Amino acid sequence: MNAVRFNEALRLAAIAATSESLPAQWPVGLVRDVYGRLRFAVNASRADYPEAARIQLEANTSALGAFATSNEVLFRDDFSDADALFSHADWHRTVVVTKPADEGAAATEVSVELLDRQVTGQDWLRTEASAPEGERAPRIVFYGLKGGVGRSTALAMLAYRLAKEGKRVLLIDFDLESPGLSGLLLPEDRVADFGLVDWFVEDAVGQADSLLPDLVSDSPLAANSTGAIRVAAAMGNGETAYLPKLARVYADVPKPGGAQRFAQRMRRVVEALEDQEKPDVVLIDSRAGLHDVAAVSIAGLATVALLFATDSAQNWQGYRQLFAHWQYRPEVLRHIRSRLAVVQALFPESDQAARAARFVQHSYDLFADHLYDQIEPGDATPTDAFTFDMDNQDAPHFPLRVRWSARLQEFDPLLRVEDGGVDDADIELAFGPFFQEVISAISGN
Amino acid sequence: MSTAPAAPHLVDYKVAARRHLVDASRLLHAGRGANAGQLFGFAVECGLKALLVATGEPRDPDGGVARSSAYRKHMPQLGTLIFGVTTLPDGRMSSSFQAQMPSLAALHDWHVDHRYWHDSAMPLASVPHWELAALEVDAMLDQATADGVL
Repeated sequence: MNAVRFNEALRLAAIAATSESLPAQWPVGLVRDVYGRLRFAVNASRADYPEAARIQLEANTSALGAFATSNEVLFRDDFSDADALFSHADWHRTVVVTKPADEGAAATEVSVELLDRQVTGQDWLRTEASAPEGERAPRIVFYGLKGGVGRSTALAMLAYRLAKEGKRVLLIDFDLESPGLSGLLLPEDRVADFGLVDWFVEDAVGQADSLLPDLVSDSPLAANSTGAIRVAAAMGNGETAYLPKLARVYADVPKPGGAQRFAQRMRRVVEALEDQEKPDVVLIDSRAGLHDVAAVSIAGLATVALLFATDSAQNWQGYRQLFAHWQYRPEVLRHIRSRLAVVQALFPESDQAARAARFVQHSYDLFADHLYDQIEPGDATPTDAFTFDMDNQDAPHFPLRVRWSARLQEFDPLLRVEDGGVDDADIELAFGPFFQEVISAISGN
Repeated sequence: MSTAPAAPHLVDYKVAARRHLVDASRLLHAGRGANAGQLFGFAVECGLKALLVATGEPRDPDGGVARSSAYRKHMPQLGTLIFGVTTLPDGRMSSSFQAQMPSLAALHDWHVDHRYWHDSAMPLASVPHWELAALEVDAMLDQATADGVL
């Protein structure tokens, strides 16, 4: 007999949990534990739930193989504070495909409440905003599924452009595993005494507030502008123990009122920096990959999340997995999809029309398959439907473009033009349309 | 992990932790602080041992922490042993469980020998702090149950 694998176990459990022969009075949820094992969960006491239904559920679990547990049905009795468990914020109505589309027949699916207990990654689905729109400066998150696509350079250039317009820009480098933004924007002697990793380790012992003023410094890139670029770097000046600090950043920390997870702490440091700096715009450099930092940045913090991509199969595959994660949680999807904007990075100098068209097609396919509302052919499109034509330039899939430029390779924005640095014309050529689109996007918020 | 065999051991730390907590709360409400305090401490001990054996600490045939184990201790030594070094198996999950129990250090003046002591010698002012620690451990047990660790 073949082993039941992770995906198949969820499919079987979802079918069992939604069986019509179970009493409708008590919907059956699924708790998937940190090892991926599935248990049925009923918000009732064991004594109140019909025994036949419980036996039916237990009988179904034998089909789950190694993804079953020895106590397959959880009731209120199994928890000291059952309300905390059954009203947990991580319950999500989740669509599970029970039979894939086949030879013209549409896929069948069921919808079930799922509490996914994970070691990491919960924050891709936590989309609550920290403050109502309009009560804080817009936050622009720079994210790339893959590194090396010019994300940090684009961020530095946007900061420069905004400063030239007189804006006070707060730039936060959350690329903690690959710190480097400060090197792009700050000469060594201008780096602040402390970095973000210091905030996290000091916060764990309750003394982060006092280092906040020494966590931010001015970039000379804004020296001749009417604005300012304030940089909160990952690493402080003269750091000698970065790795031991980084190794502690993601710890949950005990606080009065309950443990604080990394996501809550990351949100707190952003808000504390905003309170201190009073910026007009916040630019957040998120790290690449499907990492918790990116999850919190995109799902929990962003006013606009810029998704950098090149037209490569690896990029689209990665984004497809991320989008599918949201797609199967409709409530999460509704919160997040309007905040996304794709950036075509390293837009080549040659064959531009054809390359642009290919990119739009691939981006559209990605969004249409996972994030846009599906309107059946012949049906009227509801006025509130989140759906766009491929050529709609205001659609999330329609890319902002950053041109590839030979002048910007091994780019040092602090280098003077006479020493081989780039001038404003170079910058405008590569980034001009990108600047306009981003500024327009945050102005609309 | 909760794939323990169905045959029950004599020792069931989670059930015992819950029993001690419930009884301690009743005693406290009845004005019996001295024995309530003693049971809050045992509730903490049992909750921590439930987590320990669930994450791989060797057990004796009765299901209890093995006699040869350094963790066969009462509070407050047990808490110091567990959290002085990271003994729980996974770094991230360990910090997740630890962070739920910030009041464990409040048991520094709890002692298993309090059961022999005169009422007037007991640190009764500490009982509410011991209660808080026991409630935190209780919440940790809920989380570990949902996580599939228990």
